[in-house]
Amino acid sequence: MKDQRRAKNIRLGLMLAAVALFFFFYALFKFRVAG
Amino acid sequence: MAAVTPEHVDHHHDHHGPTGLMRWITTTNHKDIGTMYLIFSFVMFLAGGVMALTIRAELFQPGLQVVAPEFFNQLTTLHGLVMVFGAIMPAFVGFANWQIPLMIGASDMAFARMNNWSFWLLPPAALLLIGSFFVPGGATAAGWTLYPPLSIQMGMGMDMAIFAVHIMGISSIMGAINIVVTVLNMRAPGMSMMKLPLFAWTWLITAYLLIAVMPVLAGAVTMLLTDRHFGTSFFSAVGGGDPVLYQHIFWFFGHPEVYIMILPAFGIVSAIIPTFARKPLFGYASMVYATASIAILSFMVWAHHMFTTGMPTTGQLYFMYVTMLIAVPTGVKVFNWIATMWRGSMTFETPMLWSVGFIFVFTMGGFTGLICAIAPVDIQIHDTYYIVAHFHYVLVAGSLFALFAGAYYWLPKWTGRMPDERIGKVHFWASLIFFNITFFPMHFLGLAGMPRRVPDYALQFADFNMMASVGAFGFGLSQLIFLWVVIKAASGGGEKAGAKAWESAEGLEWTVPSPAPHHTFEEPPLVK
Repeated sequence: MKDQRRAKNIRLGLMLAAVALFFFFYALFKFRVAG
Repeated sequence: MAAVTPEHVDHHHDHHGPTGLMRWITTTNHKDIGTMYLIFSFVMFLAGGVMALTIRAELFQPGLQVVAPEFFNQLTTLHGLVMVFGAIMPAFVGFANWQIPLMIGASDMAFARMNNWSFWLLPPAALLLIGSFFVPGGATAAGWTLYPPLSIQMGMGMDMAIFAVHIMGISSIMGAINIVVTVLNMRAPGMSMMKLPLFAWTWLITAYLLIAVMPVLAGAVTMLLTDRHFGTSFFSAVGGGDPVLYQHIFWFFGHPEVYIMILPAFGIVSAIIPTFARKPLFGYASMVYATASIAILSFMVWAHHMFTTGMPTTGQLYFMYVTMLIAVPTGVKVFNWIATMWRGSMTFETPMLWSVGFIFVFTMGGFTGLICAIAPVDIQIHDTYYIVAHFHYVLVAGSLFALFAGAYYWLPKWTGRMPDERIGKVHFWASLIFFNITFFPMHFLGLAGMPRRVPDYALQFADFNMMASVGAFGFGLSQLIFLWVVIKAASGGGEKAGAKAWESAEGLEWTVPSPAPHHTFEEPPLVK
């Protein structure tokens, strides 16, 4: 049985994953490597 | 809220697919995964508890008796990491897995396969953490906050902790995405957002917090890793970096993390109190707004953990006042719980005892939080046992008591058997008394100047430490009572539970039989 909400779920899930990745890379690249 | 469950819906009791161990490894069923989360978290709770008792055994009297100082530091570190990432967080995810689909009338979580992966990432992470005790140099001893410069200097146990945090972070983020999508997209027809059970609301907001801050922690520990092995100097003063930068990044994660561990607890208590007060929850909408307010404020207060790092006075004032502001929405919640009980037809079954106990003792932790927020006071009590007392009142009497409340409340739905009331009450009273014997004296120790994370202490602290150690062993042993209650119910002992196990319980989860069949709400109920 194909759930009609599947595409909507995946779209929202990918958006949230993108937000998480943004925070990760922002934290990583916000600060310069000293030295 | 009334629900109409379609008459023709066949609740399949039987499980189709692999059996034995493969059932659990390959399962995509939210109930199976919820059960695995709960078992995992209890095992980790016992592991972290053994570490805590070793710590308390060492601190029973002054001098070094039980463990070497460096091992003591490893124990305090791993106790924190195991309890936060291995016990409390997975326990709440277990509750979310079991309850959220049942509460919102969904057949399962939105991403059932990812749900399986979220769980199965945890055991390897736990093995990395616990296994780090056995590598050369032992486990990390930098404290659960993993502050540099210590965390840059330690052996491979530190790397194992970093990878464990990465893996548990990925698991948490996937779990959080699953919960947000499930709550937003999988609700039964008619269940508007303002009809959501408060547990689903608090978890939705918690999941947003997780998505925002777990990647920040992952970033921080990744920078630690590159400082350790790849020649960078983000946090190393030797190379021109700044150790305090780590503290800022860590606490930008760390303070919302506190609310990640307490907001779902608020949701559990908000489900239980109306049931046993036989009244609807007072101020539902204000509860939702208070939860959201706490979540938003949690991003603005991180440096109250760092008053002693040399912050400008304006910074201290800002972080002090904004921290105190959190008391307002938290106070709204406590007020609403009390107002729900006011003139209710109250009975004190075990879940209600835990919930009322939660309100009393968690509120004490909240008040000491206000005291810690006062910058000049915090400078005195920073890194003392006062802080240890404060956060254990929040995390043990807050998160853990609410978890026990929820476990006793939903045990009939999970096992089909009512929990043993008599034994459950013994568990509650023993835990409440021993908890206070353990942690209340720590306030005095901290105010008298005893630093945290030390295996030895001055003679003047001996009496209260002895008292705390006796309480800790009592508290630890009391938790075996819970194990007995769960095993008894799970093995079919005790009174059979009906679909609506508690007389005044409201919500969709009480419309399905107890124990909940393997598949529920395959056709969504209509919520009026």
